[in-house]
Amino acid sequence: MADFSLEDLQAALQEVQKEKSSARLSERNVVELITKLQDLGLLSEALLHSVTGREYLTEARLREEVGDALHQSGGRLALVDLPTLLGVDFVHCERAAAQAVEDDPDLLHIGGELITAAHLEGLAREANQLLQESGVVAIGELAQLYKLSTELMQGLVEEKLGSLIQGRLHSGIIFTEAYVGRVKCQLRGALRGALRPVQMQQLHRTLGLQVSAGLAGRGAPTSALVEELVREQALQGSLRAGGEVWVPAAHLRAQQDAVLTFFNQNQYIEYSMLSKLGVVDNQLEYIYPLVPEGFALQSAFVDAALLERVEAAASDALVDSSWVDVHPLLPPALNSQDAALLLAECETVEGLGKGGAKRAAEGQVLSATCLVSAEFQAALEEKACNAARSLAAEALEDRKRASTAASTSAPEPSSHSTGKGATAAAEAADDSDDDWGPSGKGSARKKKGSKRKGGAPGKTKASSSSTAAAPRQRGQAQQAEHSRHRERLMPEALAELLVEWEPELEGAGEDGGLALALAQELRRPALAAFDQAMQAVFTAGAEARRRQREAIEARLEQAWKNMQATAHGVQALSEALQEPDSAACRAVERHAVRTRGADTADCLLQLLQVDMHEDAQDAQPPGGISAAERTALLNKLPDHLSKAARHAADTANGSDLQAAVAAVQALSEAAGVRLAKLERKAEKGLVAAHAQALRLQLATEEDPAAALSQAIPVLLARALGVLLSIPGKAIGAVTTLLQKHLNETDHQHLSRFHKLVVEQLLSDVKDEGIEQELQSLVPVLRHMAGIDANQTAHQ
Amino acid sequence: MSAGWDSETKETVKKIPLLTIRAGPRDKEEWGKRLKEELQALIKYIQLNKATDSDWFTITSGKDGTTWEGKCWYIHNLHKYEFSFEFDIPATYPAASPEIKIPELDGKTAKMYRGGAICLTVHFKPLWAKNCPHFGIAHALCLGLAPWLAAEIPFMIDEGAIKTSS
Repeated sequence: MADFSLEDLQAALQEVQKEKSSARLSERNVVELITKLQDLGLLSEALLHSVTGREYLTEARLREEVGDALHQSGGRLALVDLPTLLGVDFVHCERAAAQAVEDDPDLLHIGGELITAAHLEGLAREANQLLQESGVVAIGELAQLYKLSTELMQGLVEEKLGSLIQGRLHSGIIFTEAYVGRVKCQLRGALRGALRPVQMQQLHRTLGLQVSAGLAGRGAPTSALVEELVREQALQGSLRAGGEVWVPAAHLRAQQDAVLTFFNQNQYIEYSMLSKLGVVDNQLEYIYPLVPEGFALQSAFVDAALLERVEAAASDALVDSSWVDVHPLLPPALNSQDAALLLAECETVEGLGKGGAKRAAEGQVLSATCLVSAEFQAALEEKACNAARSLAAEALEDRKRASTAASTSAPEPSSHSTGKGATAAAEAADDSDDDWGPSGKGSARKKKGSKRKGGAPGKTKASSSSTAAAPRQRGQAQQAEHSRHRERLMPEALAELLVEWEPELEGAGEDGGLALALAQELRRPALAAFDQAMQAVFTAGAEARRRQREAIEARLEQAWKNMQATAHGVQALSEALQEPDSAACRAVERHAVRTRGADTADCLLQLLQVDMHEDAQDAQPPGGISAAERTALLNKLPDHLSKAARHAADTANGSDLQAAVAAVQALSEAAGVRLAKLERKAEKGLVAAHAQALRLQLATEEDPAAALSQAIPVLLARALGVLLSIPGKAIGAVTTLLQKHLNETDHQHLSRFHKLVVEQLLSDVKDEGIEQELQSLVPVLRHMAGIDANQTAHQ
Repeated sequence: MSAGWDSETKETVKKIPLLTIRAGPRDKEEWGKRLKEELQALIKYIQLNKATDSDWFTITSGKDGTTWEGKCWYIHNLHKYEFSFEFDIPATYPAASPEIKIPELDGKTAKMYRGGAICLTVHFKPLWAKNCPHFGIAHALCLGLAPWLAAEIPFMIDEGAIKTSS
């Protein structure tokens, strides 16, 4: 440049300045420019952006590009591929594609894809090629292969069928005629060979028809083919279960033969057997047409002949007044419910239900399978009632035994526990000369009484707890006893009895329940008989009790009279002796209390006992009660009586006669027993009668001591007009008293006799002299008492 | 060249060829050489401007190269503002820098001496003196007039002192 002249350079400067400046527009400027152009409406068409935002393009250009892309991809292009191919937003591609489809009738927009008609034709040709190769093709498979929807494929195939695709279409599968023919031949062969029902699915597998079988489950072409074969009479049989099972006619014939053979041989056929023979569903519908006269039972279908057999047995049983279990008459395969159904079908039995009372009275069905005639049942009922009666008798026996045992055993432990006290009391023996009683028996009883004196307090205390519980226990025991006997009339026990009487009943009926069912029937009358028998005994017991009560009342009355008379006697004696507190007087009173008072108190207690325990009658001897019994009795008494009764018993054990009388009166009032007051006149009669009784004894009495004890009251009765029995201790005093009422000789004799008796009793060695003198004085004593050698004169 | 100019200006100045001959209009022979260098630098500068689409002036000189005139323009808010400028080469050139004048703007701005000479920045003269004789007309335009236009024109437009030429 150094060579250039100045002019050149100046010219060059001008040149440089004339050159066009290179336009350097930024993207932003261009965008602004375009926007400006659009605003000004200078652009005729809307412009689209590319995805990158760096390019503008017109819609026409985009349509063109879409066409090119479709062409390049071979006639089929997914719309979603367009944005990546063209670099334009999907919305614009979609719009351009829609526009293209609108413009071009050969272009299809299917499921998001652009497909040209030419492409579809190509697919159809390809499918046809595939079909001709394999013989059968499922549309689903084609659709999967060409990635088209099944509906589209189906439409395509249907459209091209007969033109581009050579074959038959059936439920989504395309076949070639050759294939159909081949399958038909296979089916004909397989089904002709089948002798039993064949599952078509199984057959498909066996024949290797999986392709069609898999899809042809519902209304398979094979079904259609089989039906076609049946129509052509190439096969005999039928498709059952919605085309799932092929049943060959030969099988049906064999099945029917087997069923009929079994039925004719056995007169029945079980449903389980039918199932085994292949008749599983609608068994009754199957068998009824074959054997119209049969009966359907629960587990089997039976011939009418069986019914006749049952009918005959049933009427025989009714006629023979017997019973019959129809189950054993039937084939063993039939269960008891079948037998029951069959029995119910019998005219005889049906008549029982419908024929009114008359027919019903002939018999009844028991334990489901047994018919029992009324006569037979009545006979058994009679036997059962008899058994019940004997059972009732047995029950009463038991009860008696139990009550006896209870009354004797209850105080048992207490007497042991107080044994020491009892012996101590016996040793004391302050009233040992109570032995002077009129008889050995009486003195023995008094000894018991004296023992009771010491024993009673401790005993009552010690045994109160055990004896208080006794009545309740006894009541429970009786109740248990009663129910135990009734239990022997429970159906199970009765059934055992029935089997004993009629061994054939064992095991008869449904589950061997005839005996039990009969027992249920018979139980009510048997129980009634039992209760009736018990009731009868109970009524009889009441009668006995009433009689006993009357007897006790009479005894009580007598004892009460005696007691009152004795009380008067004691009073009169004490007045006559003029020494009320003398030992003799006390001895007499004490003796009176312990004899008369105790008798009265015992009678009263017995009466209460009878009132309270209706079944205690046999436990008490009529003569009197022992100390143990008395204690037991006291414990049994109800509370409102208990106190008065105890008081009466205690005073009867004491020595205060007035107190004893008052106590007896209190007890009688508490118990509501009326005691009559002794009248003067009656007392005289009583004294006379007593004296007379003593005289009678005295007339025959040989023992001097006894004779004295009898003679003294007689003499006293005559002297004072009182009724008294005199204990030994008081005899001396009374003898002295009688001095005033006897002549001298008699009194000397009496004194002498008394002295000798005392001597004799005191001396350990038997003194012959005294004895002889006493013997010689006895007649004198009798004479004094007003007894002559000729007794009739006194009577 | 430390401060006072924006980085783009600095970059551009570096690309303008530096002059070598120290000669003023009085040095007949040498001045011719100097003038050639001036013209080459200007051509280069204009080429640079054209290439970067930042062409902003035209310039012509008298035959001896002592008087220069031309047009400069500035674009503000999409409007082009064009002005005529002129300057003479001082006798002491290149020790003294040329005084560029825009007569039509005289009296419209405070940043101007009487007669329309633009008021250059305080940095310009020391820089020029330091780079003497390597700086020439092109450098004076690049470092003097261009920054002045960029600083003053928007101000004047805002004040309504000037109107667009387009």
